[in-house]
Amino acid sequence: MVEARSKSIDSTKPSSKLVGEVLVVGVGVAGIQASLDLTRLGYHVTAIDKSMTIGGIMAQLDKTFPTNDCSLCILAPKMVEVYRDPNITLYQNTELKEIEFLANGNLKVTLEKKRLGIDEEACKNCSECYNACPVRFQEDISWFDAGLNMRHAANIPFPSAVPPVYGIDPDKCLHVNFGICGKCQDICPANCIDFDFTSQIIEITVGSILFATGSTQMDPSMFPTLAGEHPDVLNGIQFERLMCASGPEGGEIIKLSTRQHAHRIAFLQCVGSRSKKEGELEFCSSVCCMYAMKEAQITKEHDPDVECMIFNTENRACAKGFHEYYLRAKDDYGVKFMQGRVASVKEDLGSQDLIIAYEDIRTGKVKEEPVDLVILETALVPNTKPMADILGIELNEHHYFDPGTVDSLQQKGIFLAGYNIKPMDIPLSVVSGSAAAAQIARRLSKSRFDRIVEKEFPPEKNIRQGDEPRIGIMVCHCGINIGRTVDVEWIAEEIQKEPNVVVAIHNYYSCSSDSQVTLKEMIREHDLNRFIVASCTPRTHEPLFRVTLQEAGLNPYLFELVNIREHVSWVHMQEPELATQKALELLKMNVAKVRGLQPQQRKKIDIKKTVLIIGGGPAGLHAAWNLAKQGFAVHLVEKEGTLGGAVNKISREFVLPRERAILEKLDALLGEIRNEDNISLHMNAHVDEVSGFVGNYNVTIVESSSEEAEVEVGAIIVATGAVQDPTTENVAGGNVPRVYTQEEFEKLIEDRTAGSFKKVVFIQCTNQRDDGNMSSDFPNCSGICCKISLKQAMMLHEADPSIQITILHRGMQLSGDINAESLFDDVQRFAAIARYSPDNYPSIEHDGENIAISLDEVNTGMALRVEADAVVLATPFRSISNTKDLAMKLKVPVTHDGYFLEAHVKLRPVDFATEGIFLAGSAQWPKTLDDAVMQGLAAAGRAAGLLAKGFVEVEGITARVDEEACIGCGKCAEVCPYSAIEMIERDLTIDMVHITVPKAHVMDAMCKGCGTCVGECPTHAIDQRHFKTSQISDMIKALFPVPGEDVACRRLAP
Amino acid sequence: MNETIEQESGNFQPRILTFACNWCSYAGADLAGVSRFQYPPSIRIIRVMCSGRIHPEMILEGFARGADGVLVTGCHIGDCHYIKGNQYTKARMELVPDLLEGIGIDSKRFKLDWVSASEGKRFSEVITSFTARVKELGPNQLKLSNY
Repeated sequence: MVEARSKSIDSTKPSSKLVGEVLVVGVGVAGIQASLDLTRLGYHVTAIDKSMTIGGIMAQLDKTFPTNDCSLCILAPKMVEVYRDPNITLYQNTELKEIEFLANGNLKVTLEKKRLGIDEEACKNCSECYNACPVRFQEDISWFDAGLNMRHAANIPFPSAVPPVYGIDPDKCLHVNFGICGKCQDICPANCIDFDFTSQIIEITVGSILFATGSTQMDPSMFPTLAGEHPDVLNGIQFERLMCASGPEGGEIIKLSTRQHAHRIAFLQCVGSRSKKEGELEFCSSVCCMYAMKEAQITKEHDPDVECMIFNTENRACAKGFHEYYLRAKDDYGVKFMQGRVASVKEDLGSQDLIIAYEDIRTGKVKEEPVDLVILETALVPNTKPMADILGIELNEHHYFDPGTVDSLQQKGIFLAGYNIKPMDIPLSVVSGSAAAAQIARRLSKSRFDRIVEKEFPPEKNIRQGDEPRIGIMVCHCGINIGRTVDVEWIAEEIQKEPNVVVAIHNYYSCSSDSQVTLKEMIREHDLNRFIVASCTPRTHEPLFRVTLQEAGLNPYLFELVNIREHVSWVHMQEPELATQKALELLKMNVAKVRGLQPQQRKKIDIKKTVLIIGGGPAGLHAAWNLAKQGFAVHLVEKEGTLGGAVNKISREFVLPRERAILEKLDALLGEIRNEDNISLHMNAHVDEVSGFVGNYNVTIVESSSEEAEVEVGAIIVATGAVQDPTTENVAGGNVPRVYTQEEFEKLIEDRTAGSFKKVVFIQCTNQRDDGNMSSDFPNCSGICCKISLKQAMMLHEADPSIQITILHRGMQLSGDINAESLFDDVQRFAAIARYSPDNYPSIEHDGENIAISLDEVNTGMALRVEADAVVLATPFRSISNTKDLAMKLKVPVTHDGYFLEAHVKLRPVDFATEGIFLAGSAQWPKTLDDAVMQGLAAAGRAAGLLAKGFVEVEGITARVDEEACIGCGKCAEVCPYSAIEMIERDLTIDMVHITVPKAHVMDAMCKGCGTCVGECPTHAIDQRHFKTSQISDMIKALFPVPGEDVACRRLAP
Repeated sequence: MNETIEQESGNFQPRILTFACNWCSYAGADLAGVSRFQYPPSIRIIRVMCSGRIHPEMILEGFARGADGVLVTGCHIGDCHYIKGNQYTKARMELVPDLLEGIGIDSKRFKLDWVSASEGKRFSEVITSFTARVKELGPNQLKLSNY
């Protein structure tokens, strides 16, 4: 398949313009998102990964925080989507070797693809080679199970790897090294093993390159003082594999040394990160605190009696819902949080227990305790070196490119995503992938759709009422995966006896390309109008067969896949007769269903290529600018009289180096945006009314002059931002003067008033990060205030070094910024830093002249009293006051913190569940400037991807109403999760009396085809296409037949 | 093997009509297969997009036609692919036991459970334990005469 696809690439044809082809290097979650977005935006993608499968680190994780969703479950569908996308050419085992910058701006790239002794196109992922291979060896830590599993020379990283292709390790294979064995070649039913290990050189010309090569977690053996080489000392990814039900130990959390259950586990944070040691990283890896808490929670779910201790200097949980996640770990699961770092881990030579030594912060004494497992949450090192080598550019001391270098690379068409930008978690990686896609789409806007292949199908055969169902069936052996347990031949014979079944055959691999030819031939020869394949799960293979049907001129919905592998042969391996019986019954049920199948059309709806952006701050401005430059019309609604939002509140007096570049760009944008023809500005304005659906929203905008503007837009981006809560009286009392929020203080700095203060005290976590004892309605951490306080402290100090500065904190939240730790170090040189307990907020008093702040310092245990002539409070950042009102108008959800809620916290961070509406910037959660800009670009990319083609295809299996039977009760409209059902008035005449009656009406464009309405209807007036009530009833009848009952269908149901 | 397995006591093989939603419980059943977690060959799955699609009448129809047990599965509450479809499933299925008792069917023959896409092991356990329960209850005697 891989080679077949490569032919679609027109190699090095010279052209005067940029080509609509993009190379994505690294196909983890960021690369996956970028690739899928790019094809939607109209570009062909060549995606390469150096390993045997795509998916990156996310595929290795057991669960994801903060929802504890199964990681692979949510990622696997996206991996399959990449594999199936006709506009993505995927090369695994492939590395980028060379980039040549062409004069016309294009990039000529040389790729090297390694062959692993197997004809990839022929491999059917049947695992026979793996089972036959006699070589067994301990895998390397870079492998999928992170060194915890045994491997064979013939192997695949994990069962649902993408592409689903095995490979042979030439270093371990007996045939390769000694010319013996060859068992895999003998047994392979697909004859795909050729022991060819040559490299293939591929040269293509692209318009842009995206690097998304992710990170590598440090090997625990790098840390001998923490017993890193001991088998019971694992790093985070190794522990994820150990916990995972599909991992090497089946999810049993055991000591690998004794294979007994672990009862005490210590999680050690910041190992190899936030360190100035040679070979270690100075910055915070930004995800470890959260995933350690997740690992501890999941461990507790396995066995509540396991003692889990997390050792850290502070717990960094500073995004949406994260502090509540911490509280759940602490209070509900009983995870212990120990402040401080573990000094050493030793093996007790007598008991062979692991002994951890740490300083108990409260008593100051060193304690030693035995534990069963030690999890070193080691630093994640960006995989930037190979990219830097190819580009011939130096990395800075943090292993990253400097911001200036990133800018100049972008000018040349090279973009970054994921951990290649800075440390980030999954949602931000997804955002960065979408943002990079948007930036590339802007660069290549003139080549949109140039390289896109649209699959063309013959005209669909007309299926008329009155036509008899003619069903063809293919029963698959799947090598011996099904055939070993289920009597496939007998089933094919038996099912052919069913009414309406015209032909039933069996074959070895129904999914192979030759079987697709057979299938089409069967349809033609027997004039079939329905088809069933009995093989594996429709969740992965249905799309393939649907395309085959289309190629044969049949509507893709006239197909059903019956799962006799995952649901039969693999789960009843010891009961072949009962398994065969079950497989036949499942087939009979589906024959009954298929009789009632009807062609369904995915309606195409024309859309407006215009986007409404609500909010003219950093996220909204960048979204607007990107969309305008991509060629879309934009309406930008700003409630104030000036654009800029939060940018206007940031003093330019002292700016951090990282912020400077972003601010300069934003300031330049503010100047240019008025002259951009594609952008219509609506100042002093708000959105009054919204109606319509994806692609066709009608929006009423009210401007200050109470003028109304009606605009029609295809998509809406919400970028309304956040503001700092001005409330301080509850902690400072109403009578204490000179108490400011950070936003207020920033203004004083700008006005140079702040310079007159001599003693300034910053108090972090005011009215937020509530551990349940400060009666705040804001339980979570705003995430940006610690960084703001450090910056303001630095500004004050630079203005006047004699100012005494004190910062009172509860554990500084400095993740997501590679410079934050060194900034904190710099601030500590001149400022006094003290830590207070979450149970004991400092008291702020005023004796008529001076302000005095008292607190119990946690690290020293001393009661401190600090004098101040100004107090700066880090109060929570809240979403704007009319969030709920706007959410109602847009029909989108809001969290209990009052922030907009995205469609999926991990994989759809800038989408709303409502199609066509997107979310960006601090409206999602307070953000630093760089993250807000990234989100703005990502939202622009998502919106542009939706609108690029000029139409959207809506779901084919929607609900439909029989108005005769509808009693207008409105129950269906009440339960519809997508508000896709409206109640309309119908005129009715009964005995010459005219009345209007309510009837339910499904808006197809909004219906997602869940069928919840059908389950609710008291009169069966509403039904779901493709899953009709009558079809389900026929399936039940087929499962429990009554002798003599006529089940045949002679004509189609209406 | 050509005939339906005899439902004699001792060798009673219950047949359980099972509804599974496309996104979680059907995927959980897939994972049970991929992981080779074995369970009794008792269930016959009807796949629906969302458990919210399942009308209580379908369960009654299953019993009326002779199902020895009916199992409804969906995403865990909060995990629904369609936001909240399974909340309605829960509300509707709470009515089913009373309906069943009303027509003389032991409500223990009916079960509602949640299985996520990651819970292959759990899927096999749910099937194993429910099959054991139904086996203990014996064949469904209330196969309505007019069917």
